[in-house]
Amino acid sequence: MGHDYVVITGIAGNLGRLLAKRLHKEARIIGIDRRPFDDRPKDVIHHQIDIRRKKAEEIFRSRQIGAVFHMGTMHNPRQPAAERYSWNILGTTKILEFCRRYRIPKFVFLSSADVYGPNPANPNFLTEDAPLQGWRDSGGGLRDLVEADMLVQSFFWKDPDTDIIILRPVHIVGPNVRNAPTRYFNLGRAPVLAGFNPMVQLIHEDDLTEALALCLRRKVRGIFNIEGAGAVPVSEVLSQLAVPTFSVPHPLLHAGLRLMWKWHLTSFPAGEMDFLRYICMVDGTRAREELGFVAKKSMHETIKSIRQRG
Amino acid sequence: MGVSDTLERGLMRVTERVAGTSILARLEKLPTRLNEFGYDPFGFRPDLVKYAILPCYFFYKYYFRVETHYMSNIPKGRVLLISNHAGQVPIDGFLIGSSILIEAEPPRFIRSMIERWAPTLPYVSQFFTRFGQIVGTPENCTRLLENDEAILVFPEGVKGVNKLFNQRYQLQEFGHGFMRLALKSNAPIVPIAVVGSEEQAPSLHNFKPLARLLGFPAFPITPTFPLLGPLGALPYPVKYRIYFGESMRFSGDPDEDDTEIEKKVQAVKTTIQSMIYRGLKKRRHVFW
Repeated sequence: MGHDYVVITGIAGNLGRLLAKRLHKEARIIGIDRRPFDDRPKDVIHHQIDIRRKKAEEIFRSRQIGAVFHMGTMHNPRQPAAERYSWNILGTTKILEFCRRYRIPKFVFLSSADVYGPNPANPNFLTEDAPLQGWRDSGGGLRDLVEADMLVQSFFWKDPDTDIIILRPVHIVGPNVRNAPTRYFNLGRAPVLAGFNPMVQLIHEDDLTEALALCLRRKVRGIFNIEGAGAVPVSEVLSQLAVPTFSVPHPLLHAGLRLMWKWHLTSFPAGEMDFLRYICMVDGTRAREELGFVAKKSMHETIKSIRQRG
Repeated sequence: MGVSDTLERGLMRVTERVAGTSILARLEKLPTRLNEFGYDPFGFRPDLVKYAILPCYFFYKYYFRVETHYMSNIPKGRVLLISNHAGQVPIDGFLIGSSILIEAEPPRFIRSMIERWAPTLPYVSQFFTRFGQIVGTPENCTRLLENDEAILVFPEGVKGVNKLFNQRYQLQEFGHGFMRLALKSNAPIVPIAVVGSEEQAPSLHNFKPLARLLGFPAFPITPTFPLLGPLGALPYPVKYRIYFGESMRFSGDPDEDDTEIEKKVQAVKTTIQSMIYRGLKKRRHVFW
């Protein structure tokens, strides 16, 4: 394994950079991303190309590749749906096809626990076989991710020679992460839903990169929920970070956000408000037992890291 | 800070005077696994329980004057408490929980399985979560039993709560879920008969169209409700008697055919029904 190359798609993203920096000492890294990766470690090869172009296949054909980390899905809900769909679904299909064609032994897909979706009837801790209901009433970004996750699952049997791993981490936070949860927790004044205060799970970015690195070292396959140190109510996170809040009844906030979204005054799609309403928590037992993954950062450190800037 | 501290100390003093000095010490003994912020993984916050003791105790001791029998039948470790369900409002669950918290030795905090729509109700959802009550999915139930918790289940569900007065103390159809869970988790079942709940709000008629309109499981018409307005919905101060039966153990395949499970469910059901009849025979008056 040590002699082969490791491909990381979406390497110029915040998590891609972290993973590249985490792995470049133990493996030879090839990055694929449309965006430039300027401050990369010297031994990282970067191809600034679109994964859907013909040229991308050249990378897979010309070198002995030991593993692919596919983290290049697009979540930005502001992107036009057609472009986002093509990028996420066609892009993922392309890479899975390369893995099959060039007999790449390992493929790791970074999904998210959000694919289960917040739902009032959810059991408190969802296991990997729970249905993916994240498409319900939410922004298009999540719907794509559910579809991409299922697409990767279909390759469990289409491509039995590749060890396919899907990681579904809980909300990732940390100094380098910019996503919906970190943007929410960094608001000057955060709206909360009157009467709702669901438990949430968070994971620190360093713990997540550790989980990804373990995928490279361990001979495993299948789906793994990745959980952090524990769960707390949303209000506890906000009060630990000293974020002032104001409560709004759900129908009002929903309508308000839809209007603000239309006029480009907010980056939160109204459907995502359900994450402040219902639980969407996972059981990380499988990752603990088979992958050997246990989060090292305490809940305290994880919450505090939201305010640090990397 | 000062005001809330004084208030808290005052409340705790009153609580100890009313419910006895040992009550707060009993709460310390509750077995729980908490994280650094004082929550268990399900969102239960045991340190909130002490604020609820006073109202709990008032209803338990003075309003419903609960009488418990054979409480020593509750075993240590995991257990499924199976009870009859009645009275339009689920006071029976609240009182069974209170009895085990206030009187059982050692005290336990039972988890009851709430309806799946409860999390959609603002404030209600948060209240249930903080006080350890959990949505009744089989996954949640199995997980709690594996943590050696005590779980309260009403196998009749809403069919039991909302039955009319002329069907009082007649057990409705039992669901099978609890038996499969007992078999899967190898948990003993303690049958419970609650006597008194049926008379707290005798439903003479279920006004179904209005229930459908409001999205309620039923809209009961009682002698006082809706006649006397919201006040008429207050349960009457009947005397509650709770009988704990000897624990029952079952063995077998949890995924067995319904007909096999049904036999075991019937065994529990007939036990509870005969406990109810015995309790009714001993009772001389509804209110004392």
